[in-house]
Amino acid sequence: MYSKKTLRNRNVSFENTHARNARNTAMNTVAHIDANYYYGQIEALFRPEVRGKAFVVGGDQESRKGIVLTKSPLAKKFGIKTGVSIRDALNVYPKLIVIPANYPLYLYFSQRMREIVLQHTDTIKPFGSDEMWAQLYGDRETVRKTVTAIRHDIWKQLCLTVSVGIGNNLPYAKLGSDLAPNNGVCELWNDEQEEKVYPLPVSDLLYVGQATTEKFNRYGIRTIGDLARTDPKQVCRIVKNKTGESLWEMAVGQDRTTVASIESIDDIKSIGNSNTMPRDLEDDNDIRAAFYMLAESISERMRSNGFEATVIKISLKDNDLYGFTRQTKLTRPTNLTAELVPAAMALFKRHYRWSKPIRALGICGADLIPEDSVFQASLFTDEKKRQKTVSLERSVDRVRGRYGHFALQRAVLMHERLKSVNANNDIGDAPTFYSY
Amino acid sequence: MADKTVIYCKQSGGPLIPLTVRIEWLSDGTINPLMFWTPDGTCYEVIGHSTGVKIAFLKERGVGLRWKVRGEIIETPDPETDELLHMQHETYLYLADKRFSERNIIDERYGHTGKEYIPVTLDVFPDGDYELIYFWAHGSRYMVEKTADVDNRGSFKAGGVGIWHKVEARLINADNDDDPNPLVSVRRTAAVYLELNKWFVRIAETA
Repeated sequence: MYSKKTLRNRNVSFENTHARNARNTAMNTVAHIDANYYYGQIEALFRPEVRGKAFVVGGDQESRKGIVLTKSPLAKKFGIKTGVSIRDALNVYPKLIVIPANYPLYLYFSQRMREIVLQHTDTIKPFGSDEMWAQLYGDRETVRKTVTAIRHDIWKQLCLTVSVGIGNNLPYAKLGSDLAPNNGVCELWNDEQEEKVYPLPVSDLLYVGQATTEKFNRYGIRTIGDLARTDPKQVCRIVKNKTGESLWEMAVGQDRTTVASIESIDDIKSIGNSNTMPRDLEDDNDIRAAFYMLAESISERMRSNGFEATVIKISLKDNDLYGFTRQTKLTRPTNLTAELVPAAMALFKRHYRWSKPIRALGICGADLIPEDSVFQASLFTDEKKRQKTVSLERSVDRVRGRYGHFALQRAVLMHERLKSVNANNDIGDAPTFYSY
Repeated sequence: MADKTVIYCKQSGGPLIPLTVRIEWLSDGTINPLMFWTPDGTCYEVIGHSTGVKIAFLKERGVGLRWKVRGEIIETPDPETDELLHMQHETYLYLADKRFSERNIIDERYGHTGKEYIPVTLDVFPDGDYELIYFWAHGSRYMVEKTADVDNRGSFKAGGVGIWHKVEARLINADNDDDPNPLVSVRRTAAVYLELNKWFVRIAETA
């Protein structure tokens, strides 16, 4: 996809990439590191007065609006669940302490946590702000020592406890961290899958959501073992697309995904941003404003890295936390907000009928190509006008780089509560880069 | 950072002159320049300065602080040439390092019951490295005699994280470097943390 010249300019070589991938495949030991009730731990660190009490992070106590993003262990004991509204949570336990989220702080901790892990390994793959996979090397005893050192350093430097899963592939490592106790470690090696992995519910598997679980259950597939024993072609037929084969490979422990280095720019296949909005979005105008906010952040990142997207993806979740992802090929590669948002809106309108308000929204530019790639120009595009838009958006980048994100704002955001959100800094849930 | 000059003065269109700067870092995060030394050993006392402005360095893709300062020469490399003493110069002073312009994201919403934010005095060297000189803790002023250890560390008891400095310090008078009691020097080991844009000590330690 990239010319050798582009790669040379980026100081990345084909040889390095292949060597790294080969090494990762040959000695595949992966740890998945997951900070325990991440937002809650950080808030409890800076608020000693709430330690040991029932509290949640998210929303606003006075207005009783918003949702529970995370809960303390005691709040969990009282039956408070993540994703419920603050009003409902306060009905369950009126003395509940509600702490508003401080996303810039969580983002800062996320960056620090990645830096700490990178002191112990050369490759990590972030998964949200509080989770990541890390490639580990050596025999099992060495790996255990490395994991202990990582947990120790994260506690010493950030006062955070993490759960760690270790396995021979990414899905098993993730499964391990889900099963591990708070501040604990769980090993799920491929040679132990029969007794440790196969009895687990199929919904525990990475990327198996509610809808897919229901499909599997209809065919009698209730455990990961059931899925592993099913013919992969049959799995594809059940989920009605090719991801069935990937899910089957995950179940049997043969997932070949490697932990890409965060530094390797040639591994970037998409740049996206998504988050739970400050309030539920109720009509197309809300959606458009939110898309502008998110698209500005991703288009700026694409421009600064010299990429254009050929595919746009959107993701959404309604207030019942039911969601989906849709994608479409763009008519021409772009890194302009002015072109990404109309494409995202068209995709949204094609696939969503307003049955419920939208709680979380995401946008992602995928199948990235270098900015200077040759493409077939459309006869119907006014190139002069487009060049003006390119100059305008680059000028906005420079002004914001110098005077801050809020120095220039789109009019569409001025009537929204979103105007106070800087999607580049304030939203911490989306990784800066992620690759599929 | 080691081989890069990030602390310097520069006139418009003029050359970049590396400096060692003594700064006062207040408990609210404000930084004020007190003195600076040029490479030839000339020492300037800052007798007036503008408010520190956060600026972005577009070429280096970094951020930092800049002041317009008026400095008066109080020490020259050659003690015999005292005609330069008391000469005043105006220049722009740059601390072109992110550490000096971090955002205050751990703000008043947190009670900070376990820690005391303190003013400190530092010497910052041209490469951005620094040395603690004085700090205040629990109403007393201390002179740092030795920085024994520096590490990234959090304090769960205090409720904060940052760059931890283990220092050996001597209690001194508020307005000079003498011991409050000439007969007994009071020395102690303290942990001083730089948390984003502010310095703190644990309250339990200072009480």
